[in-house]
Amino acid sequence: MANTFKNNFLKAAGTTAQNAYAAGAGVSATIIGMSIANLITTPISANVIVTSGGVDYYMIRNATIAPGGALVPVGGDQKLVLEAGDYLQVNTSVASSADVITSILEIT
Amino acid sequence: MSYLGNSPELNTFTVGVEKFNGSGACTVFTLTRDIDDPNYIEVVVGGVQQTPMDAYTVTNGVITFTTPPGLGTNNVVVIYRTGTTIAYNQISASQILANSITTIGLAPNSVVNSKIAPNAITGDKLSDGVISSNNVVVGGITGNLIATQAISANQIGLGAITTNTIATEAVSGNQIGLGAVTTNTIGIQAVSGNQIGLGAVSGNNIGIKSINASNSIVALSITGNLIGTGAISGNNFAGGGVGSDSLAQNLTISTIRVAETVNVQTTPISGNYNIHVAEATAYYFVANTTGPVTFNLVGNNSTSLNSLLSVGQTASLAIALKQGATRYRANVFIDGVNPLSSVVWMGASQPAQLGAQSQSIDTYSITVIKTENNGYTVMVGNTTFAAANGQGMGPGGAQ
Repeated sequence: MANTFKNNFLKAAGTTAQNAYAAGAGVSATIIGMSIANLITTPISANVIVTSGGVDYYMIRNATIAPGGALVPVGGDQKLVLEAGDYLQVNTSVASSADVITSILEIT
Repeated sequence: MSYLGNSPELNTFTVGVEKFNGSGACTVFTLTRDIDDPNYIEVVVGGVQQTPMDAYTVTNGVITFTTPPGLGTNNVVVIYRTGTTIAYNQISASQILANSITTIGLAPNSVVNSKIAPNAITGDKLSDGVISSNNVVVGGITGNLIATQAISANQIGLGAITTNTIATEAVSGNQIGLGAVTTNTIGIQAVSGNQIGLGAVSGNNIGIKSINASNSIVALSITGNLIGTGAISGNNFAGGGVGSDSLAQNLTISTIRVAETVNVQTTPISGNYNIHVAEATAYYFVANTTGPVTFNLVGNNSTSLNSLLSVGQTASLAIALKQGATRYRANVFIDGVNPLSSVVWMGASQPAQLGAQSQSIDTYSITVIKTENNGYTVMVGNTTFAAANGQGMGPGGAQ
C-alpha cells in the first residue's frame, strides 16, 4: 500500500458547495489539515460538509470567519478519515469569498 | 479546531452591580443585562449570598427567587460576573445598553449614506430639531419624498417659501385649503390673468372692494358674457365711473324696461323755479300752483345749461304741474334768460291763464336743442288733463 501526501487547493469558493477533496475508488485518505481563509473585507460564514454514502454530514456549519481570519476545521489534534467514494465540500455565505487548502494523506 | 487571524468574536466584561428593593412578596426582578445563566451573577439578599439554581434562576435577564426577598431598600444586590461575547461586526441591539451611544460616541462622518438602508430611518427616530436647515442639501428633498399631509402649516417658517421655490404648476387648486390664502399673501400683480383658469373665480370668490385699482382690469378683459344677471347694480358705478367717451356714438341700446325717476315736489310753486336738468328731466309738482310759473332751465345749482350741453346736443324734459281753481300759465327761461323768439309752442299757442276751472294737471313737454353758444331752439308742448265722469282731483292727483 502506498502513502501519498497531497494538497488540494480550492480558489475563491463561494455559495455553491465545491469539493475540497474526493476520495476516489480504492482510495482511503486522512485529511490532516484544512484551512478556509476569508478573502473579502466583511465577515463570512462557512460550511464544511462530509458526504458519505450519499448523505451530507456537517463538519461545521455557519462558522463565522472575520476579515483577515481563517478557519482551521482540520489540523492539530483534529483529523478526518475519508473512505473510498467519500468527499469533502465547502461553501460560504458570499460568492468568491474564501480560499480553501486541504492537506491529505492518501493510501492506495 | 483552531482559528487563525482576526477573531470572529469579542469578549468584553464590564463591572456592574444592580440593587433592588425587596417587598417581602415579589420574587421577580428584571436585570439590565440579558443573562440566562444563574452562575453568571452573584446574588446577595440582606447580606446573605444566595445559591444559584437553589435560591434563584435567571432567564432572559429576569431573575426569579424561590423565596421572595424580605422588605428592604436596596437589600437585593446582583453582581455581574461574566463578560459579553460580541461576534465580529454582529452587535445585536441587546448588546447596546440604552443611551450607551451618545452623539459624541459617533466620530464625525462615521456614518455615511451607504450605511443607512432605504427607509431605515423613520419619522419617530428623529427628535424635534435634530435636522437643521443646513443638514438638507440643495435638491436633497424632492417631491416624491414628502408624504401626503406630511407638512402642516405650522411647520413652514415665516418667509421659508419664496416664489422661486415653487415649481411651475406645482400647486394645483385642490392643494389650497379653505381660507389658506388671505389677501396679504398675494403680492401686487402676483396673479396675472393667464394664471386664472376658466371658471376658477366665481362671484363669491371676490371680496368687497377686492378689485380697487383702475389698472386692475385690463382692456377687453371683461366681455359681456362674463357679467352675470344682476351682477352690476346702479351703486356699482362711482361718480364719474362711466366717462363721456365710454359709450360709442353709434351705440344701439336695446331695452325692455326703463324706469325713470321723477322729481316730485310737494311745495306749491309760483314765479321763477329752477329746473336742474343735470339732476332730473322729469318733474311733478303735486300741490296746486299758486301763481304764474317760469321754468328756468339750468344745469344745477352751480352749472349752467349752456355748460351742460354742447352745440348739437338736446335735452328733453317732462313737467307735470297741478292746477287748482285757477289755471296759471307757465313760461320757459334758460339760464335765467328769456329766450323769447327761440321758444316755439305746440299749436303756436302758449297756454293762457284761466279762472274758475276744475282742478287739472298740465303737462309740459320741453325739448331744448343747443344750436350755438347760449343759443337754443326750444319746443314746448302743453296738454291739460282733468277729471271726467264724476272723478275728482285730490291734492296728490286723480282719485
